[in-house]
Amino acid sequence: MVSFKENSKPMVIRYIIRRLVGMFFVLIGVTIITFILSNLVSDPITATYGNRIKPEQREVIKNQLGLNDPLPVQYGRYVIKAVQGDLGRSYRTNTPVLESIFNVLPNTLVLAAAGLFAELLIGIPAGIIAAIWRGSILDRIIQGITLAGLSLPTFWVGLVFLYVFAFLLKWFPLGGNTQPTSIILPAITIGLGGAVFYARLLRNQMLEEINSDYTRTARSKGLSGRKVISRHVLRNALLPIVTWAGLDLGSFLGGVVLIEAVYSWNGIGKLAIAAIGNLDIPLIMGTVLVAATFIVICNLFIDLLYPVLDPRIRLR
Amino acid sequence: MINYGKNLRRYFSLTFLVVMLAGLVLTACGDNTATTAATTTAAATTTASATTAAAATTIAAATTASAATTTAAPAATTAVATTAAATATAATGVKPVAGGTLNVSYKSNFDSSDPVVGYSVQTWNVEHQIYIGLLGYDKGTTLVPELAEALPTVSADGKVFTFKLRKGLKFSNGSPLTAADFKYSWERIFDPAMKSPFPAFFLIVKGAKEFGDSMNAGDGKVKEITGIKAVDDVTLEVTLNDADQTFLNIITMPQGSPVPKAEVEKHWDADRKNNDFYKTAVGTGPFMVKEWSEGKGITLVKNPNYYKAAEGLPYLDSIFFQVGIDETSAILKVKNGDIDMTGDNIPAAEYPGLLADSAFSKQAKTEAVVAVSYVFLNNRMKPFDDAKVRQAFAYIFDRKKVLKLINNRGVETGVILPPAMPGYSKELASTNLRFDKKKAKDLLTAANFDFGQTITFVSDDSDDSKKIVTSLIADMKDVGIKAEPKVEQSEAFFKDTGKEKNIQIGIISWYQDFPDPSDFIAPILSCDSAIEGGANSAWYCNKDVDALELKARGITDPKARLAAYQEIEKKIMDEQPWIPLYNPVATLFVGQKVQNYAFHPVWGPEYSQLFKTK
Repeated sequence: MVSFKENSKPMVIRYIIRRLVGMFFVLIGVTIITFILSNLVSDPITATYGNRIKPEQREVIKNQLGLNDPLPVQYGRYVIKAVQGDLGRSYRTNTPVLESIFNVLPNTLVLAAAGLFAELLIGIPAGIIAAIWRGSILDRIIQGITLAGLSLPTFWVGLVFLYVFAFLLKWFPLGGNTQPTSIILPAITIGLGGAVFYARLLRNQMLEEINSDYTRTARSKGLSGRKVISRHVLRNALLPIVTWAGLDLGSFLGGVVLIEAVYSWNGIGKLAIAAIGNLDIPLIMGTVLVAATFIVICNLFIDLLYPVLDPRIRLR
Repeated sequence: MINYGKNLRRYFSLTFLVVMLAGLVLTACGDNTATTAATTTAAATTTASATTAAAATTIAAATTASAATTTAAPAATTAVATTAAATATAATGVKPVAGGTLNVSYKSNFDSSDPVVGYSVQTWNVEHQIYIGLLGYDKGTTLVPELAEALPTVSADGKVFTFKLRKGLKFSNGSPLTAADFKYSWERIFDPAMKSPFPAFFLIVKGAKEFGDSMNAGDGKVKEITGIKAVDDVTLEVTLNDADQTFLNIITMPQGSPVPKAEVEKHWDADRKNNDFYKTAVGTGPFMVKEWSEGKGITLVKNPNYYKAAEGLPYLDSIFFQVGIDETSAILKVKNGDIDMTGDNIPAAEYPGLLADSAFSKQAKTEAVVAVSYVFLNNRMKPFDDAKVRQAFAYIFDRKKVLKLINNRGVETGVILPPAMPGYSKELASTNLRFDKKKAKDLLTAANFDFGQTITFVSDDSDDSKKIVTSLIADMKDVGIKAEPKVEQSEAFFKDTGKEKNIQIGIISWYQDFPDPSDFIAPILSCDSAIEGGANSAWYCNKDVDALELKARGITDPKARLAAYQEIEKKIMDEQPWIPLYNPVATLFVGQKVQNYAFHPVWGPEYSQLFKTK
């Protein structure tokens, strides 16, 4: 993938290994923090049964779940099992956590991909138009809309979309992910929220590039405006977009909580929220671990992609 | 300006146009139509998205809840109809239509459809479709035989119950059901690997404690519960430690239903620590599990081996309990006909709007549940260790204001037992609805109440609780009592109520496990329950009351028994450990195609009686 002189193959491999080791420690850190926080809140048996269960029975269940062991022992047991691919079982449903996560993972993947696609599909053209026609009425309108878009909470937009396009006009299903068209509204909602950000980011980046010396040189050498924009300005301006898109993808894969809630989309975000509500510690740990893994992997991926986009960048 | 190709320009302009149009449509439609949705639903979503806090409370509240009831009390007295079809036609005037799928929405996942594990209203309502036991309830709360051919014979001392099973009973997988299956199923509750919350209910059976202790210790010394005997294939004999009629209610809870040993044993994991029987969930109810998928829901199909299959029951071919549907979207989905009814309550913010909307008000069903929400006064803490102070407090609180604050999702009450609970006394209820702030002040002064002290009023963090406490504190201030609110996360709140001298005063609710008055006394108002980690939040203990209650349990004559419980209730209310506020209601939204809808006091919607018009 990275094939230029400055970034030789062994260097890249060494870089990846170093990052993977780092990732491992990040994930350990994340699980420790999650574990401590979830155990600080309360005990899961009370969370599940309230005050309806006799104290003796509470003890029996705690023993069965190993909750009477000291926290470091419990954590150690968790890590040993996790490394072997066993994330434990939900306290509430007794379902294996991995099974629960894999049940909803495809939904999350679809939503993340569609959301990112929608963001970029709307955001990049809008940014380019605004930059090319900077100062024009079109630019101002885009600026205005993006400002409004940034300020509108996505869950509100989602509710309005559901009400208008699904309930009144009946173009789309009212939430859920039972039909192929179910994805459209959630994707557009994510898209609009994110697109405004990308549009503004891209506009500013492109303006910087358009006003730079090399662009003027390219123009003076007789390159057409289209070529200057596509080969030079856009390519350089896209770098931060890639960074953010990568980070977005990582966080989307960990679940888009509000969108999932509004659109009744059963993804990892909803699973995590339900787990937190029930203080279902194994499920909380599992969903957080999966989300964190996606984020660190996407991060690594972007860093590896950098030198491809901009040969001046070197991996260290 | 930079000059670029025509095509590129067209592409950009088109995309831009689409974005602009979308924006315009959004703003235009948003103005008139979306406002109601946005404002009303926003509140609901805020609750939902204030996730950890508010949602946790709702879930905790739902978890503790066990069953629900209808206000249609007269229906309770109706005799069991001869054939189901006749009932259905009589009730609705529409001839039952067989077939079809009923779609019901829920927000949360089901806990476990294993009857010895699941313990929430949501799960019980569905479990009841999969599992039934020896006995059931008629339309009200009177016990009737289900898998048993008649009510059991009871020995003279009230300790031995003998059940005769119907002939030819089968589980939904076709395997025959015998008396031995009940013994196996009830002993299974004590297997520590099942992590069941229910063993305490069965400790009244002779030998159950010894069996449970041995199972927990894992010493294998006690092999069975000696009090449960499968005399032959159709005869089951159960011996209790003491005469106790509540045993019949206990075995009518879902965990009292039989499950087939062969099927359960298939589902252990390698080290026998976890059992996945919930996935196939084979039982004897009107429906059986076709698919159980976390994140999607549970699909049930008609059980061909249901003992009432010959009567054409259930009418529906299948039910899909879909999970993950936000409560607000669920309302829109019912309106649109995408789903047939909500399993969850109508969101508080939507409720008044639906009732006011003539197009939908008939579909919004309000059903009282067998539960009570009350103010508890810690009998072991100052100032409530003084009965006179507690009696004075009974005059302070304005119940009507409380109900208004929660959009009238409740009915005011001044007594412990809810209206649908056998033993409910109308007379006691009406005399106990006290509200007279002047009298309260006089009584407090007479009791030498110290008006200088500040009382801490504790509640969980649900929206309703916070609103109610604000109102109650305002009432206290009117009388000259200083008070401040303290809100705790629900788990912490439950734990704190279970500590002896921790919370002076607070609000909490109790939902029935089974429709017998003992369920509102023993677990929450007995000396036995006034223990660390118990549910007696008022820490009330009166040995006389306990003795009366123990005696009442054994009385076999129903009339005499209920009279005994009324006396107990009156005795407790005289000491005023609580100030009952209201009986909560369930609020369901039911689509127009759903016919013969009925809400059972214990089981919620009667799915096996429902049918759908085309």
